[in-house]
Amino acid sequence: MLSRIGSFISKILFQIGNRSIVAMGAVMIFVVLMVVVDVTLRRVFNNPLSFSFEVMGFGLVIMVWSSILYSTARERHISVDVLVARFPEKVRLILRCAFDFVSAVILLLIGWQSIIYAMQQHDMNAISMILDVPLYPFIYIVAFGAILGGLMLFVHFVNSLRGKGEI
Amino acid sequence: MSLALIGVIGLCMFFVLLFLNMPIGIVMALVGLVGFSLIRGWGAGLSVLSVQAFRTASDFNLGVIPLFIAMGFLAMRFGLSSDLFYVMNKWIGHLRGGLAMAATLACAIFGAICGDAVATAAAVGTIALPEMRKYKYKDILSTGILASAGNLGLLIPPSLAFVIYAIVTEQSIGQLFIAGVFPGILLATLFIITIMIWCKINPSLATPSPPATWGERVKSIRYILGSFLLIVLVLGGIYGGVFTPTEAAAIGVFGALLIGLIFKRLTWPAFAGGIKDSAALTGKLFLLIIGAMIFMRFITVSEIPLHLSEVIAALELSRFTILAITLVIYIILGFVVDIIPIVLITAPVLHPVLVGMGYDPIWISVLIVITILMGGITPPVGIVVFALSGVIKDVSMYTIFKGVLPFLISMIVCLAFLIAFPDIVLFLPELMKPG
Repeated sequence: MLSRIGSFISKILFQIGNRSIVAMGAVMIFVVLMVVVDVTLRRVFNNPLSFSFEVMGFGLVIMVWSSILYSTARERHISVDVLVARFPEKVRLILRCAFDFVSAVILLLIGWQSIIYAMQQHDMNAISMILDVPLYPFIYIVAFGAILGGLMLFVHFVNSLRGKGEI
Repeated sequence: MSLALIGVIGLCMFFVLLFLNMPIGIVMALVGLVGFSLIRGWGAGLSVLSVQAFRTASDFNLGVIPLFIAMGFLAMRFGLSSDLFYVMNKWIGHLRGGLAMAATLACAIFGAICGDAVATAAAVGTIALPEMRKYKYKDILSTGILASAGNLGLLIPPSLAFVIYAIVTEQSIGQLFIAGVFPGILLATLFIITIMIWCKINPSLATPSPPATWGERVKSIRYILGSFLLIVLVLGGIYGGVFTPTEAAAIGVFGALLIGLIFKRLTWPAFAGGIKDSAALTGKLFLLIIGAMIFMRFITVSEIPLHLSEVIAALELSRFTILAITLVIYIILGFVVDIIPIVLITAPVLHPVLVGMGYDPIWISVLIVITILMGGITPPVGIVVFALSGVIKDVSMYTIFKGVLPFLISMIVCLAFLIAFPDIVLFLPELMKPG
């Protein structure tokens, strides 16, 4: 029963991870079109979009954290495997379990701290300089991405414990 | 415990975990968090995590990374890399070693669209390697040139290595980009000369393919027009100060989509594939960059760069000796670690020391990047060769290393040229208009 619930949760997490690509693609197209319009207005009519710099920053938060979510769901992050490739399989498995667990904890810590940071920004009414947009929703996006990424890495950890996946 | 001692213990922990195969971004975040917290308290340490996670992701200058990555992968999915090889093959494929030269030129030109070495080598290699095998090219030549020429993607702008280097050392991304143009062209030329000499000495390395007619050659040029327009638009815009590198990256994505549309290659699978590849690489790189930013906060408060400068000053070595030692350290690091993490970890510490000795910041950045790239293909470990041997499974690492050696010599010659004639690097950035 527990393993069924576990595999159901991991399925949902991986679905979200894979779907995050839609958010990344949509925001990227929006940012690209905005920059094209901005550069055209600036160069041709000497009348740039004053908010493009700020909107780009917001767009980047969505693009970057949806990418982290996607890459966490899909594959392993950049590491140095030249030395470990020569270790016995059992040692590699133990190291992999330990590092998946630590990676999950780090991302969950980022998520937890981002929630606290977002709440502080909300209480302080922190807004952006040009559009007066509240900053806290974008910090919640970081928290959401980090927590889901952390949970995904936790699933990797459980899979490593059960001897599944690449060592 | 003194600040320096905490710093040194942190650095030792960092290298132990790194070589035990922990993801590099996580190692940097973990050591940075623990080290910073030991110095400034756990409350401050934990808040660094959230502040850096948000600030790094929303940094306008870093926006250049996902956008240039997307431009490169979309161009690859729309077949621009295969077009480049096709055209080069028509023009020089009939020469002895011509397909290897065509692959080099395709890597050099595609390097001006794609900022990653592995992606450049893969984009050209998937087309070039089967073609070279068809014409009985020896693996030693074909894999050697692919492992080496992929490096052009990280030297010719837009280079992800230069973006990261510029950001962590607070330099102009545009100027560093442009500084890579002549060294990239010089290196590509040296690679081609090496192929010519090698094939002259050992003609059995490559059989010439049948020559194309002049009509076919002229006709083939239309396939290269898209790539050239994209390069002129992006690099010309940065060089002429028309737009910032981040805007250039966005316009590059727009240009790639437009070319896909004009050449009727903008299909849903190609677009979705390009975005997926971009997301996978962007996610990996940003986890690394966020980790590095947390790690750098620790390194700064531990005053390691200050102590390092004092130690170097106490050694009383000439500035040329220090430069030589630094380059040797970078080659050794390049054996086992990817270029981006090396730049993220070392540039904020070593770059100010070298600039403080009077070296030009742009010149030193280019030298360091080439040196790390050399490390990546140097036997016995060379991380790029290690990665390539995982992709080309039927060729031994020994063969690839043997194939890489002549091109490694070309890189040493290139480095010597850049040291002897710094203007090769500095000429274009000095002429550049501010963006």
